[in-house]
Amino acid sequence: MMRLQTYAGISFIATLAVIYHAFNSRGQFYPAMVYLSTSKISLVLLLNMGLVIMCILWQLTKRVFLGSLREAEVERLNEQSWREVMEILFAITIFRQDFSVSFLAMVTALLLIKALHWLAQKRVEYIETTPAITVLSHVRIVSFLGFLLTLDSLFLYTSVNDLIQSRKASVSLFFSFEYMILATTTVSTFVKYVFYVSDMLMEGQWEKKPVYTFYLELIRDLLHLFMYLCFFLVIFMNYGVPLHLIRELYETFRNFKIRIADYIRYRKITSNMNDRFPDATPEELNATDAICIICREEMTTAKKLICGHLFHVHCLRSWLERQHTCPTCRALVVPPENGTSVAGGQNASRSDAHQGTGVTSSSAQGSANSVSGDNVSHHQARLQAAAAAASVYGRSFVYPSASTVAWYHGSAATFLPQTRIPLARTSSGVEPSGEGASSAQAKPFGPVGEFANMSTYWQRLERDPSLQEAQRKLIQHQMEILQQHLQLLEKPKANKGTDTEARASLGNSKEKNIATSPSVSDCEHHGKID
Amino acid sequence: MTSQASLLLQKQLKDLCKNPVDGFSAGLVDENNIFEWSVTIIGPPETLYEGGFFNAIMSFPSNYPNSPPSVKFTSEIWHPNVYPDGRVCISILHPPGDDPNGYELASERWTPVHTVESIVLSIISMLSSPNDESPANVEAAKEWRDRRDDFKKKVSRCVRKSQEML
Repeated sequence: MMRLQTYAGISFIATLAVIYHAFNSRGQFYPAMVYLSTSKISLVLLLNMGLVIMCILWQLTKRVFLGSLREAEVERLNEQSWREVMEILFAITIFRQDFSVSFLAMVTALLLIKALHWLAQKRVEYIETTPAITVLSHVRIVSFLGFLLTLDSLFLYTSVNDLIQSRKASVSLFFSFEYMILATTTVSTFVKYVFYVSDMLMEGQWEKKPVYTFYLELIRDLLHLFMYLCFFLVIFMNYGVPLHLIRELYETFRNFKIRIADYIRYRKITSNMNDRFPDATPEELNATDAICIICREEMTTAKKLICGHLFHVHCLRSWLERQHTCPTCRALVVPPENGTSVAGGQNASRSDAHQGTGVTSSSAQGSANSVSGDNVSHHQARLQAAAAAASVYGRSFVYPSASTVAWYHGSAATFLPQTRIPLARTSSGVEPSGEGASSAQAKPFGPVGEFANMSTYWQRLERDPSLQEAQRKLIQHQMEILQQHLQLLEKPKANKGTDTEARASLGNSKEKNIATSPSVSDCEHHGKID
Repeated sequence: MTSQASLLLQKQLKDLCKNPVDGFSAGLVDENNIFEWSVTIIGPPETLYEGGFFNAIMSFPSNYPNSPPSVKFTSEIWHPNVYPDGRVCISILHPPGDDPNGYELASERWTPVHTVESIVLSIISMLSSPNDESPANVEAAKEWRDRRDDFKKKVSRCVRKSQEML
């Protein structure tokens, strides 16, 4: 802002100076004007002044309708503007025969108006996600969108008019196309905003909103794709390859394709959601804490996935729009077409995962092992993961220094009922997420109950590194044995998953336990993989 | 959708106020905006980051919990899995669906069961075990791997700085 002011000030003084000089040296109005429009220096200064005026107008509009920008908006502005400048430069090369001062002015105006459109989009997104919006900002955004739409239609009108009058391809083609795109964007942003407002008026009970938003975006993309294609062809026939369009055309096309694919998948899953997924029985609901893990609200009715996890219908639906796996254990919700079991499919999709995945493995993974028959590698992978996890824990959590024992003791106690993350890094934590059998073995590291007595144990461990090592080996060994046991147990019902056991052994905390453990492993191997 | 997200976040905020979890503290950046959280992560003991107080901003999308939030450290932090501009790069924060580059499987990415708490705890565990194999901050990863002393020095400078900022 400060820089713009100084720049504007200097430009203004320079312009005044050149005008003064012109009138002073020429004496009369007409020669002065001739001088101003022919001398290169004065022309540059006057053009510069024009640019400054445009920028000031732009800043003013921004100030009036948006106030100060948020960080995300500035970021978007910077990011987009460079790309846009590049593309407009390409466009200028295509229309180089029409190059003139007015063309330059129009291009600059287009750039600035485009920037306003990005800001409007960002602002609407922001308003949608912010709970308390003042009336002023509603008024502002509505008038801003109205203002933009007026601008778009005005420019569109003049360009189209020009085209109709001259009846030949010219730079007006470019402008009418750009403003057409901008106008449709503004309209769709506005409709989105209307959706948001009506959702708000219905106090967030409008369940159809995502569907309508989806259709809105679909139509907008379709329209854009169509326009881009038309324009591309027109330019191609009249001028040559429109370089500046290639990126946008490609992006629109890709978005559109993804959207269609999503839509088809989504329809496939949700069209028969009621039939596909059985309702949970009251007993099943009572067996868990009847909290939907997605929205953390109580469930009175629920849908059950094949892996046994329960969710609200609408929560499940909105997740399935994105991904077709169980939110809790990531087992596929639909058996693969080729008839292999879910577990098998899951296993295949994981087979190229590296060792860290062992920690994330949930009940589905457990059964996958016995199905697939490559027990050994998985088994080793899991052991390695457990060891890695244990060592991490060892470094950071298990053996706190004396002064921090209370701190971590407390922390772990708080974690446990809720997420169990830090604990998941000990082998005992890994165990339940891996196999759901911890309660059988984890005496010293047993979950919630025993935890309170552990600080002295830890203190002892801390003082004695060899004891640490020994403890780790012991636990690893125990795990090995337990895993073998579990696999034996699982064989008869390999395809069903071991969820019931997991639930039985871990009670209420089970869902959260499994749910959160993947995050640990993710961190572990994120770097390797990302 | 919007209201589901804000309800869920409000619930988490209330939970965290009632039962604060040691290791971090969380609150809103702006009282009126439930989608922007400000968290202070205490450097986990027995790690290089011990004693540090690192501030980060979590920005939730309107379709949370179906999409992940983004987390960005506002304190200076030197870590292989944190971009130089502070963005945290862990796979659970990446949107669902297979990575087009094939680096991450869908199964390692976001799921809607994550809460503020589980995310922050993941970040804490990331602090205690950096992963240098495909890092966000290549320079830091190289140092972490090859010149551990330099790495330590830089980290402890960050820790000191974060303490001074308090």
